[in-house]
Amino acid sequence: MNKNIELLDNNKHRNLKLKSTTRFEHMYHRNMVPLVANEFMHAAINFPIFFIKEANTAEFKAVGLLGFDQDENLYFTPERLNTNYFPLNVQRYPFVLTAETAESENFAIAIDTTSNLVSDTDGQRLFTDDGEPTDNLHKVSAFLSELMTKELATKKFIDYLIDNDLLHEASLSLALGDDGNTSLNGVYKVNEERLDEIEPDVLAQLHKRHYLPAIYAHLTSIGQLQRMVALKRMKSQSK
Amino acid sequence: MTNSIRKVVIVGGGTAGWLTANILASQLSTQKDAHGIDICLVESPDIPTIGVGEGTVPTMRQTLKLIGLSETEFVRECDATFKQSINFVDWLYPPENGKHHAYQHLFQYPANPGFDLTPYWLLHEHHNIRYEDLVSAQAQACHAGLAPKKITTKEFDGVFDYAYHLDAAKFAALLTKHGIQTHNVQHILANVTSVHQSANGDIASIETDSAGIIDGDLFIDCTGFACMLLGDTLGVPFEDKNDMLFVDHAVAMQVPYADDTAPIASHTIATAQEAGWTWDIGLTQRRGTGYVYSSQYTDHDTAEQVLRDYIGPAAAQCECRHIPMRIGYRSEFWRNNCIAIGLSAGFLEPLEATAILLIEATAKLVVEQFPATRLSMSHSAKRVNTITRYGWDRVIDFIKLHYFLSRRTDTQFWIDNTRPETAPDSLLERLEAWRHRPPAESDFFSKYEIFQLENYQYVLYGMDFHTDLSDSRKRYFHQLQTQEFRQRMAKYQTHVLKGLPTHRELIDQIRLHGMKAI
Ligand SMILES: Cc1cc2nc3c(=O)[nH]c(=O)nc-3n(C[C@H](O)[C@H](O)[C@H](O)COP(=O)(O)OP(=O)(O)OC[C@H]3O[C@@H](n4cnc5c(N)ncnc54)[C@H](O)[C@@H]3O)c2cc1C
Repeated sequence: MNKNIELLDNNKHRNLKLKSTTRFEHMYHRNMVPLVANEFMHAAINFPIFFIKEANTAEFKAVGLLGFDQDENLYFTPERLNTNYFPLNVQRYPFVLTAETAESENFAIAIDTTSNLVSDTDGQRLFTDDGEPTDNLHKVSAFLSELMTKELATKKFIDYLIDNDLLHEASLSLALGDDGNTSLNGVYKVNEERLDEIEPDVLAQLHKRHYLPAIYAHLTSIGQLQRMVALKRMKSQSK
Repeated sequence: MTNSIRKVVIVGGGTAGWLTANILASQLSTQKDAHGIDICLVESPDIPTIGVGEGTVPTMRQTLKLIGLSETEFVRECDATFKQSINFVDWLYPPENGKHHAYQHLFQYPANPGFDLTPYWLLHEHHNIRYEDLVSAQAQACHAGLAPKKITTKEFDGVFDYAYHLDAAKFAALLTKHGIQTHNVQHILANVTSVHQSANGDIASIETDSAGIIDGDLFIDCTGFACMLLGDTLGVPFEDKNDMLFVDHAVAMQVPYADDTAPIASHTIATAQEAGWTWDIGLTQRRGTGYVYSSQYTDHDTAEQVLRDYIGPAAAQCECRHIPMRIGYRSEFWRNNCIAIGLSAGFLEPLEATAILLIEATAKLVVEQFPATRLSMSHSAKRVNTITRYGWDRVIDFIKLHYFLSRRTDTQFWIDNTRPETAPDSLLERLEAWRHRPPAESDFFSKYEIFQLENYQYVLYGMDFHTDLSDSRKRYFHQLQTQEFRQRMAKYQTHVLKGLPTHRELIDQIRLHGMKAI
């Protein structure tokens, strides 16, 4: 766990206040955001969706690609927001659900105390003077547990794709104009050829499990790479 | 009667027997139908396997894929680690005041920016940089204790090329399970007591102490140094190669790590000693070490002491095993309906980890040449014999090269090793040519060379072999490009090393999370 992320504690954080944001400053230097499967439709009309492996575990997850360089975000910028959809993993900030202790199976809410949304003076409180959770915190809690349910469903979805040989590494190389070419490494996508030849029983399962909309949203979203290239050009011209 | 080949009997359940069984069974149909082939492996419950043989070469990756094993399962079950090179220490000169000469035979082939860098290294760069560091980043990765890949790299792929170190007993156990469960290999535990031949000399059946008589159409002798079928029964003679490769004994020791966070070397360390050399192989749970030596130049007690001195204090609580080795190979590997694979076929020394390589290569060759009927067998045998013998001879060339280029004169063992009459002509001829021009692709024209141009380049120029280009230097006009290449390589080296986990970290991640097949 990041060292500035603390488990929420009704003594320690009794007076803590939270501001709301429409700017999402915490995203400015992150080029990816994790997604859950039933967000794909909304995400797809804004940015490309890929699958990547977690750096330390090689566990697959779905992400929205927001920039080409490691710390580049073309969608959440100080000048403007270039997306009309804000993924759940963007909205949850500065909260996160985490295991209570390293061995524990219980989850608890934690908060990034260095976030500029956290304050002693402005915003809404998380605890009452008696240390009871406010309605505000109840909402956060409901939101996070809902997100966790969706993440588990997404993991099942990805496992199903892998087990049926439907994912493969994407090899993409993009012309960035004056900035030369870039190639995207380590990103995975649904294998369209395989999808075209899919066995009827697998297809029936994809349908029954409501996976088809997510699959097609993901495949369609790859076209947003062109939009990213355009955003990147605009950025480098304005410099 | 067409005498179609329907039943293969493999005798012996060491690395050779089980690798052969898995390769044959995965590549030939073992369906229980009219075309299916039965593969049965008989192994003694009493005679132990040799229990060493822990280094491999990169072909092992293709072999594991071929027989359908997952790399994660293999790493977990065989305590396997990643081997990126062999680090040869003290081969050129004996150590002096604690200073050691060392070079690496890397598994990542030298970079080629459109031309061979070797002449440019010889003409301009060899004072500035080691050969291996000019052409690759892998030597630095090894020195830094880094892995050749990340947890996110898919199975059998690498940032750098690699092979494995493995626990021989655990590997045989995994292959046993896999052969039986996945490939329908029939497993019989019994001692073979006698071998029956038919009138034409073919092996008709083997008789066992507890499983009766087992007949077959094709017999594979994987009985280790015993060579019970091809040697004892069919009388194929052994050709001794001790006049070229002097080592004939080994003393082996398994050494524990100080604790479970100790770094694991990602290369074999082969250190030259007074009458041979020591190997040092890092597995996940322990090191496998040993001293391979010539009994003509030292005695067994001294040899054991050399190994103990090499290991240091950790050796005090460790037992060691003495293993006599017969150096050479059978004059035929396939006679009648019997093929020898593994130690039964022969053994050179383990310097370049070629024994398991030759097992894989021969088994794959048998698959390619698998005779449909007894009638076509002699043709297959002839092919396999020619190609396999060619392979063994090339291995001798390559191993001898390491000794022959040495400038050690500290013991008679090393002095005698550099006498031309102890080297094969095929090696001497090549070396003569390379004194005046760098080795070329066309010096390695056969598909069955085993060792290629790139392998030779690392050893020749790691050992400071002198190729005199003074009369031909004008031919090499890519000097500027070489400069540019050096700068690119330096950048690449910093970049690539930053992205790699330590070898121990990767092994721990694999044990915990596994690698993905895609
Ligand atoms: C010191 C040393 C170091 C080595 N290092 C390496 C290395 O780093 N890399 C490498 O590739 N190779 C190495 N090798 C070689 C490697 O160990 C062998 O090639 C490999 O283990 C294969 O052995 P095998 O299966 O042929 O024989 P063994 O392991 O000896 O197996 C023989 C089998 O035959 C069975 N058998 C024998 N007689 C009978 C009978 N009468 N009835 C039934 N069954 C019988 C035994 O039970 C056993 O299962 C090394 C060898 C030595 C000696």
